[in-house]
Amino acid sequence: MSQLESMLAKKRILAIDDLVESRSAMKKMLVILGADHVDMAMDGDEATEYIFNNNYDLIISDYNLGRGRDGQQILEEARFTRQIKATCTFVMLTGENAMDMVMGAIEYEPDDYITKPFTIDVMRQRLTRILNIKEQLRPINESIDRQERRKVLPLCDALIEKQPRLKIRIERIKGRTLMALKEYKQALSLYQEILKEREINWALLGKATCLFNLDELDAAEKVLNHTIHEHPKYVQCYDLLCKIHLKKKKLKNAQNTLMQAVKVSPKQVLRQMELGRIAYANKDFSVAESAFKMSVKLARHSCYRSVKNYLLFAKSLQHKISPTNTKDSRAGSQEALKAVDEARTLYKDNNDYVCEATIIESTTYSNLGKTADAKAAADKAEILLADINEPSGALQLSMADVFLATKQHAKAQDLLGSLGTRKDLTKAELRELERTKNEISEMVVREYTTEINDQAISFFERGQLSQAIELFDKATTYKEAGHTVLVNAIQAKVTFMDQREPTRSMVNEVDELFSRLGELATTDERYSRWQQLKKAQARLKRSV
Amino acid sequence: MAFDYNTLLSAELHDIKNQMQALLNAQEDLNNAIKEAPQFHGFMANVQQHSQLLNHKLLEILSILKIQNQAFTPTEDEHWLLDTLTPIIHEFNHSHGLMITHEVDPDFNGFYDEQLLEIAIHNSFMNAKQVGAIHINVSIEEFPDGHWLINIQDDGPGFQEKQLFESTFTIQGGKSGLGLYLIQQAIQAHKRNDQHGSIHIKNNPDTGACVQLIFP
Repeated sequence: MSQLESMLAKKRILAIDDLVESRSAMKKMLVILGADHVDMAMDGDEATEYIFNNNYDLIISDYNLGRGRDGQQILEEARFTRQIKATCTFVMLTGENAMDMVMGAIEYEPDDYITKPFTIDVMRQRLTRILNIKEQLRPINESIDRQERRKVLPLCDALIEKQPRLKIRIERIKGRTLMALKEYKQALSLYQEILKEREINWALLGKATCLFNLDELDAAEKVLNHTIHEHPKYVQCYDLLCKIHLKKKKLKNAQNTLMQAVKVSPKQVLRQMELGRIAYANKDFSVAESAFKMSVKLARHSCYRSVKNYLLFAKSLQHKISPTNTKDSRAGSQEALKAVDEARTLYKDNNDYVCEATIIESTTYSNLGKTADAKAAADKAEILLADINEPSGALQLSMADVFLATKQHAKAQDLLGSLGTRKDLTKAELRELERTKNEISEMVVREYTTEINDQAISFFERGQLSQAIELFDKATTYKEAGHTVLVNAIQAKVTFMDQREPTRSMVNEVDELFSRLGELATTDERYSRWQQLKKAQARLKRSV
Repeated sequence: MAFDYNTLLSAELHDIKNQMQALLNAQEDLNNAIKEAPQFHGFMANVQQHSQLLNHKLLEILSILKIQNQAFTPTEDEHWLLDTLTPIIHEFNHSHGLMITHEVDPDFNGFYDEQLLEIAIHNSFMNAKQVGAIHINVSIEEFPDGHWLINIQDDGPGFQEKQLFESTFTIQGGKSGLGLYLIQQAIQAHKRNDQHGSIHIKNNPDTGACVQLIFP
């Protein structure tokens, strides 16, 4: 039995390829080489399922898996969610040279690449090599799996001593470990030593990452620009460069950098989301829209699926929705409503999300000019919001926006009033709060209080004083309440106390209303009523 | 929109690659099926020789397309030299009637673009075969400053005097000219810090030619 046969026989293997012939050929090849347990998957979804339910020692995946996720994404997700161990060997089959593909994150590199087309000879040779290396690295990888990072470093040093040919591979693990331990200075000098010998791309990125974490932003930026120039497909560099721009508060540069990155690698969900968020903040809505659209599409069956994708996508579409029934507007609103629906279906058990989705639905209808639909959605959202125990500031803010859009200014003001007392708002939310407050029109609130006033008067006229007082109280909480409303409120309360019995608290309330009203001019049509009420109030005061 | 020949071409090539892989797999099946029938082995060897050559030609086309692209940078990654060499040696020993030996430490690893090195090695072997060499030996030398080279020595007639003094190789001058040109392009693309790879040709003291692939 050859060495490879005995190594493969014990291993649990997963092979991933989208083409049926390639799959069966790969399985045959592996069996000839000595494999015993081989599972086959045809795409990312199936692979993820298998990985979730099994503990594989070796995974061989084609990079290009047709329309769904590619091999690199499967690897990244599996390592990201710790579904596969560090001791598991991952081999990528590629149609191109390794670097023609998009290089993944430093920590999510396959153990080896095999370029297609390959013969069984090539496969034998490469598997023997990589499984042997992996075996030598086993103690190190086992420590990593146990999260014992401090133990990894001496193990690395010992193995370099014993196997100098594996130096680069081991140093790579060492650098990663040092960074995970936040020992950036030590990691930096390791990378610098490596770079003296040869400009290896991951060492360049490692160096830049250390510099970034040591807050040497300009130096980090310089290294990254050089690396991107030499290795334009190394997308991780763009991600870090974007972080630097963000830290320097250069949002436009951050957006441009990520736009370059998604050109190189359009399939990465987290990057698309980040681009969407930054573009949205930059008010570059068409970029935000396409980034979120991609995020929704890519994340649909992945571990990165999140409600935010759907909701942000729907929000980013709003810029092209208008009442003018253009093709753009129609398509945009359809897409937005579809995203909202999908989010509500997928996350139906989460009130926060359903509420946020409904809020966006209302906004979409408002922008379309469909006021009735907008109001209906707003009402639903209002009920949902009332059911949430501790709604976030952001959610309340967007609800306030919807109240404004559906001409419910008074409700908006109520909500903003309670938002103003929250201590947990971010700076951005506070700015948003100010902006929204300024949008509340005094006129509209006054109209609203007048409306309540009219209802109250009808109660008053029918002698239902308690109900009338309740409504007047509501109307007078708005500082915009007009003089008529104030005078009416006073009248209701004074009449109430005359008919029943005066109370100290109500007398005080009336006092306060008087002081809000101030002095009325003798020419005012309400002047005589005001005078009479003042006398009545003085009498009631004496009696309590 | 202008017609994008490059996209079309690379899509076609991608399909050809998949077909090639399928062909190699089918061949492997056939090979297993006729294991017990030695009377067919000769035919099989013939088929294999041609398909493997076709495979290499395909790789060459891909690499030429890549090298001519201005944005091309080779993928210099860490490889174990013997992993790259063994399948090629195996192929030439089996289907080209050559005897190729090597003195390469199984643990020797270096940084290079594997596809480009395959092309260089394959063309070196092909050149030697075409001028009538029978035995080829591959060895390596490492230097303290980190550079290293591959010696490919054959027992053929060696290079002509005038060829030895040409510092660059052109695509004129028949088949071996094209071969050396490709080898040179493939090795020159390698880079370490500010140094580039190069090739050097010479004749052995007794007989035959020696091609040196020098990595910075």
